[in-house]
Amino acid sequence: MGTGFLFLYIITTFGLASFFVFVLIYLLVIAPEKGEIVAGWLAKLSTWTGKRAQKTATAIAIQSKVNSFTKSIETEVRGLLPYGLKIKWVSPDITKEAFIKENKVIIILSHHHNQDENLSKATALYMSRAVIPEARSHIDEKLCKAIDLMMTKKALYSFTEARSSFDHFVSNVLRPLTINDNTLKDYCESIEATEERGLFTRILLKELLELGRRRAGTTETGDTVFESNEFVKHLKKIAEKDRGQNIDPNFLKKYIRMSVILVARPENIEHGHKPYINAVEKYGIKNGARTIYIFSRGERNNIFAKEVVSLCENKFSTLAKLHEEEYPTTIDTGEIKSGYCAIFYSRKII
Amino acid sequence: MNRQKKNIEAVYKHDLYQLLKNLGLLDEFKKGDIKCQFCKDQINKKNFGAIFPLAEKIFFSCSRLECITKLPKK
Repeated sequence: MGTGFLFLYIITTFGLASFFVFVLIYLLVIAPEKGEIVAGWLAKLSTWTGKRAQKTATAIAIQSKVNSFTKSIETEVRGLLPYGLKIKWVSPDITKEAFIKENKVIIILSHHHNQDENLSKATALYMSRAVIPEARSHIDEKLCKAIDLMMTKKALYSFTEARSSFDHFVSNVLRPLTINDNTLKDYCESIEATEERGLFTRILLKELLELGRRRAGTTETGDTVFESNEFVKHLKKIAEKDRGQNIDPNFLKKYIRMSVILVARPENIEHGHKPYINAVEKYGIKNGARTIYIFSRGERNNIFAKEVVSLCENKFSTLAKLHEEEYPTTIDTGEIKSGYCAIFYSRKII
Repeated sequence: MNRQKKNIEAVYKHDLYQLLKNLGLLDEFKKGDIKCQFCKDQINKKNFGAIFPLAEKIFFSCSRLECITKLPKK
């Protein structure tokens, strides 16, 4: 039942008062990120009343946008951005001793009708703290920086109602930073290529997140830095692969062990499900991949891939399906097609 | 459902002088002696980005995003 019909049903059945109670419960408990947007509108309307209202409006305008974005990312990779953002206003009456003792890191925000600078600042700061924190000491510093930049770009681009914050970020931060730094530029371009195919968050960040978790508490020796750099190059190759081009999509190294099964070629699909199920068995089970990703694009391939996934679920008890989703993806011609992704974890490999 | 939140602590720009006064840094700021820890640009009210402690001292960042993302992680 759609939300509109549900509202109509509640009004006609229980009356207007019950409807308002339901709306309150919906906005405060069921969908607080939507409640935050409504609170933002109300706060914006009352900014003329003074500083307190302006502060509330400023904080809510940032929080509601970032929190909507982090929630949408959770649908791509669970646990990638598990925390929302809260702007906590600090009293200016804090003493020097307390400021140092409490290790406060305080940003300065101001109220403008155009919130672009605040939004870019808070989003960039949030990303540098919230994305794969456990993995940061195990990967290249410039790769971390590229990930922060591209996640900030992805978030700001999603704020369609604040498009100038995206333009501000691209022209004042992304472009100047990458123009004189080829390594950073290469990482950003690799991430951009993987993002267009839906592999950035779903594979790259997910694998780095797991790498950080597995290596937690260990001292970095340089091996994971090298391996994660190789992994980025590998994913770029998959993302830029031409139709019909053969490349080995599996990455079975010491720290990152994953297998990608692409359901794409009509001539392979004509042979039925078996070759794909065999590939899952070969790479995922016999060769010891920790994670197996099954990707497809286009309606026909998506239906076929879902059948393969269903058959694998029934056949392999050592594999656990953790994720399944459909999402829009860009093909070579620039056309948007429906993509499909399913993720299996091997229960046997640690 | 409500999720856990990561706090970003902020001070409202109108409260900046009050904050600097309490930290004993207002005169230094007014004289133009405060610089960005990362890009070394002079900081004024217009480009004031952030303030943070490190090893018992207080440091500043300008409002450039490149500098803001270098702030220490708590």
